[in-house]
Amino acid sequence: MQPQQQFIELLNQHQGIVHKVCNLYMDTPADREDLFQEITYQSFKAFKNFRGQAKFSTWLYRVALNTAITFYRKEKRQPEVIGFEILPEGQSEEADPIEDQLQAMYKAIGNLSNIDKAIVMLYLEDYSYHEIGEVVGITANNVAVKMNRIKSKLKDQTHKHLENA
Amino acid sequence: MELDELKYQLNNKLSGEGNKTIEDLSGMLYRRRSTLVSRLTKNLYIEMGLALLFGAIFIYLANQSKLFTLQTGFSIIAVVCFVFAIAIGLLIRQVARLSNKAHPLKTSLESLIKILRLFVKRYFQFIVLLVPVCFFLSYWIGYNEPVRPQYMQSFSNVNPLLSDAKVYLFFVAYGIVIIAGVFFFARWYLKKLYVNYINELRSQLKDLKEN
Repeated sequence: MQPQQQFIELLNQHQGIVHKVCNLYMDTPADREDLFQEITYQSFKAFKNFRGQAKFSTWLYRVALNTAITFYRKEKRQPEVIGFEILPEGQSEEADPIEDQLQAMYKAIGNLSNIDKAIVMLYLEDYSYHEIGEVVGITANNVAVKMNRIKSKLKDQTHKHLENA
Repeated sequence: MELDELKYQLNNKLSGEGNKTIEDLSGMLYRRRSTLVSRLTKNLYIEMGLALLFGAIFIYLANQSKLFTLQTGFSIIAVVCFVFAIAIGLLIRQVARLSNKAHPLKTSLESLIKILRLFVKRYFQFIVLLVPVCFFLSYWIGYNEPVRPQYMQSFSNVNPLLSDAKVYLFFVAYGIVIIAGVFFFARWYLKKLYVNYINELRSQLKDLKEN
């Protein structure tokens, strides 16, 4: 199989990763589309050096997060908080306590720093602290410390959002 | 809600909608690049091409000229252009080596900051050094021109003026204003284009290193 075809098939299977990164790091559909394009381009460029030492999904996370965090936009359009407009229609207005909790958590994740968002995203994917450390370039102990801090931040913010709602 | 359920639901929300088709993905492989490093590389290639072109033009002009002043001036500019082109070539190689996105996040941030800082530093040094060098070199060469053709005879009466301290003072002040202007403009321009972005990346790196 041609490397290009092989890459497209792998990317197609794992495109949810790229969507996740784009949704978490970009606010507007136009920015998300730009970032998706950029991640596709950068990952294809880096694919020739992919030897399969890591899982493709881990490798793709690494490239996608690197691209998202260093993504340069001439005009800054990213607000502090991720809006609800990216959620599927109809979900945000339902008075469902579980949905409210999810929205609050989602909003709290959107308020984290870019680095903390990356760690949370990998944590949500059930990556071990060691694997998260390999993607972001810090030790598993550091990840554990950061994760504890992030969890307490998310807890506080989620409670605040729920109280204000 | 159980943690696993929360993870599942959040993952679903983050994945969002709008899956791309294989055709969409194929079309994205070679499309526009918008990272600062890509733009930087493109600009470096353009600058290297222009430096080589101008180097060749100035060699031609130096060969065509009969005056020592112009021969020397054009030759020096040609050499500067070629040295600049070589320096840019080395910088392009370094950018390509350091800008691999498959490294861990921390390594990528450190590499990107290193590339951009190196570029800004070299660019600034080049601009700020070249202006005074060209400025004073042009005076020196012009003053030492041994052959004065007919059409330059009218300028010969300028020489006595140069002994006047006021004229020297004027040239020195003029030089200082030009150099200061270029210095502040280059600093402002580079800060706007790169330094603000470098500072943003450094704060991300600091965040990553903090416990």
